[in-house]
Amino acid sequence: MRRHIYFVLCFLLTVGCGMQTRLDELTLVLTVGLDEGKNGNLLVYSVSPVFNKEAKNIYEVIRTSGLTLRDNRFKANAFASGKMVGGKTQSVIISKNLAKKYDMFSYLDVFYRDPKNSTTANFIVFDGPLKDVMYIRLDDKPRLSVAIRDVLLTAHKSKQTTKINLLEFRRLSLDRAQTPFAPILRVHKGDLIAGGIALFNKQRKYVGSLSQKESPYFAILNKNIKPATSLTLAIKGLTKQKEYVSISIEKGDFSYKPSFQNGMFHFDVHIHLGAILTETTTHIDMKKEKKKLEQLLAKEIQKQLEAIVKKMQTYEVDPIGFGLYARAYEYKPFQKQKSWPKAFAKAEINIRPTVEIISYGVLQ
Amino acid sequence: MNSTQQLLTHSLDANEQTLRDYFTKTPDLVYCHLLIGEPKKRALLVYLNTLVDKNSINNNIIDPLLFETKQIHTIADIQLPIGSKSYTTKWEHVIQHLFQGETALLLDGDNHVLLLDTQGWPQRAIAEPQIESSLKGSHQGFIETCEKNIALIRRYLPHQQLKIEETTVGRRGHTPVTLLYLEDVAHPEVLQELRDRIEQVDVDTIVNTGELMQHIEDNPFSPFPQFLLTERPDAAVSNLLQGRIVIVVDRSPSVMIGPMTFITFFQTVDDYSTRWMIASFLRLLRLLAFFMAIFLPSAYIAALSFHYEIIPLNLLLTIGESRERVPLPPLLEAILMELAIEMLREAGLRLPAPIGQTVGIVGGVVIGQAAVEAGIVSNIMVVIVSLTAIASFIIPNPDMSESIRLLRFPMMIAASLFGLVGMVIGFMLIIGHLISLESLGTPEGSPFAPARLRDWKDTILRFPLWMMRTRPLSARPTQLTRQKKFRK
Repeated sequence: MRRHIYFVLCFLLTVGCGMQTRLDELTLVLTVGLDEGKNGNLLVYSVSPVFNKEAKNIYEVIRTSGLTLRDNRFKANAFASGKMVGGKTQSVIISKNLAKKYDMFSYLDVFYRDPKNSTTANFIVFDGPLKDVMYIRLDDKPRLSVAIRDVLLTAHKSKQTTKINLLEFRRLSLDRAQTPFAPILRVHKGDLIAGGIALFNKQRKYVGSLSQKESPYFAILNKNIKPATSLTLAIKGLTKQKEYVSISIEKGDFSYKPSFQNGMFHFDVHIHLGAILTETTTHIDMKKEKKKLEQLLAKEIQKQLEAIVKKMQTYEVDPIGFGLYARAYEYKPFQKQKSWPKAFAKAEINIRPTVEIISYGVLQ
Repeated sequence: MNSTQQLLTHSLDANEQTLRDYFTKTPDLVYCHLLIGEPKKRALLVYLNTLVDKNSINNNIIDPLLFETKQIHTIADIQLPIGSKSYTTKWEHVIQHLFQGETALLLDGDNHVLLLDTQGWPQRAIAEPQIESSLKGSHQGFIETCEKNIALIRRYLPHQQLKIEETTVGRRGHTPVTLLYLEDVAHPEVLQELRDRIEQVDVDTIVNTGELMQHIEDNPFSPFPQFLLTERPDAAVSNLLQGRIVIVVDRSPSVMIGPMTFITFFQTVDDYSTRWMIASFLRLLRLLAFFMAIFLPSAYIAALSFHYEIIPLNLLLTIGESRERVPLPPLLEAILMELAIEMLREAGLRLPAPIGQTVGIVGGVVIGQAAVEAGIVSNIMVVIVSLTAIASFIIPNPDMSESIRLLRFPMMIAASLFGLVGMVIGFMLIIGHLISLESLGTPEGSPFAPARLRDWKDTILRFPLWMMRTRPLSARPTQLTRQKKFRK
């Protein structure tokens, strides 16, 4: 017993109340926005919740201009009502203009280096100047930071866009065989919209984007079809005119077969998709025409997939990670390439999707 | 007093005078002079009329004595319809038995006294146990009379191996203390240890079983109980069958059982009469309640004072809004509320039922509503305090429940000083202490430390009864087999 008391007394000597980070005394930076400022300065927006019934706004936005993120934090602490901390940061938003001009890593370093910062924050590209989103009036939505996160997650689930956190962004950036990507956020008529995918090159600069419509195909190539990927396809050949068919893809089997022939990489991509027919604009006799419909759907999907792969090749980016297969199966030629994205741009990629309709609903 | 060491004389008058000298200012001592037999012989009946059954004296002693027609030479000639009687010549015995409600019959010309069992003091009827009520178990609880309590136990175990040892504790009180055990199961060393400890107790009297427990427990500085106090005969019997020793203290409605293990304080008799899945679920619930009761307020303090990162964002925003007007740091807020609820509980405990309800209402309004509206504490804190209180009430044993409620406060202070690290240190100290704790020389941490996997069947989960074929080793039983394999 006496020994226990000594133990406790020893611990008491090590008390440091200054180490406390009491929630009441903190300003939680939930969203960080990076934009291009004047004279090459960095414009930083910090969005944090305000817990005070007397305050008009339930969140505050602090805008500072400085050399780096930490320099801006130093300046922002002069405005903030509590010590600013980044442990619960939900999203890091950068403007498209900034992303086009600069290597993103030169700005994001503090997120990775300081362990008190959250590395699971979502990385988002904003299409337009950041003040559009930071000072947006959202009367029918929760706090801005929560709204941004919720919009992004919902759009990601329905495959309107994708999702990537700071840690994954770093991994893709540093991997020789891949290039990073990020979801795009924009403001349209006073509403937040998440849609489309920003593509970064090996230098971590923004080079181009996939549209909201192309995003589900990106998800399919990325083997990311759960919980379900919904597509509406225009099909010719069922009847005399163009008919629209909607399917919901429930499962998929993927096979990526790389090979190296004549100084060039070849990829044979087989994708077998199990889909539920959810809507058609014409009557289809499923007993007779199921095979035909499946083939037409596969052809249309193939067209779309080839289009986005082509796009990626022209941008010289590989967000899907074809390079991972090349490195795994054709290591020697992969190792000889000076730059994988350049080799990828020249590669020949055959995509052969097949569609199987596993259910066509409760109608005949 | 010297006279108590002495022997009786043959003269009735001299004996009566000795008694009168000894029992001064004892108005309830009755001297009843009788003439019995043919020819008449003087006799004296002495009893404390506050401790005897008067019907028994009138009908079974005085009545037959008055109508006695035989000649009475010695006291052995007297035949009375009372089963339990004894003879003595020592004043010491006479006085001791008088105080136990027996009646002494003295005969002129005989130095022997006939002591007759006419005990009949005020006692309560056997009633439902108040503290440990049960859904399916028996509804008979122990009362304040040792013999009745032993009778309740014997009804469950009509077996010759159930041994009963009587002794007394206390110089003034002479409290009868009775040890019950199964001779072929209980370990003789443990039994001897218990006998020795009880023998060494040198006090005025034992008013309650809890006092004896504190005099003989292994570690008086431990927050955890080392003996089980129960008022349920079925619980006592199930522990007897595991090789434990039951100590019945006269005048106290709870019996003491030892040696115990930590986990047995989380078991109830109902566990064995419900089906095993339900019983296992309840066991898990109690274990969860144990952790909640100790750690929930301290986790709140640690998270709010040090580790805001571990709280999910939506909860963090809710907590932030809820704490917006609270002027107190988390530790003070938590201690304020915990103390308030402890006071409420204590106030409700000692008050008669009608006033107790008022306390409940006042406390409910004050803690639940007014404190939050006044901005002294946050909503979340109220939820946490209520959850903690409920969790501590789930623990079936009141002693264990109280020690857990006490441990909460040092944990809260540790959490406010060191955050999660402090909680971990506190938890390690508790674990370390439990491992080293002993009950009657057997490890209290058993079957976890020392680990005996076979005995885990009746700990966190309660396995089906037919799988528990051996007695747990914790009480060091000398006979392990509890039941034969009769079911596949």
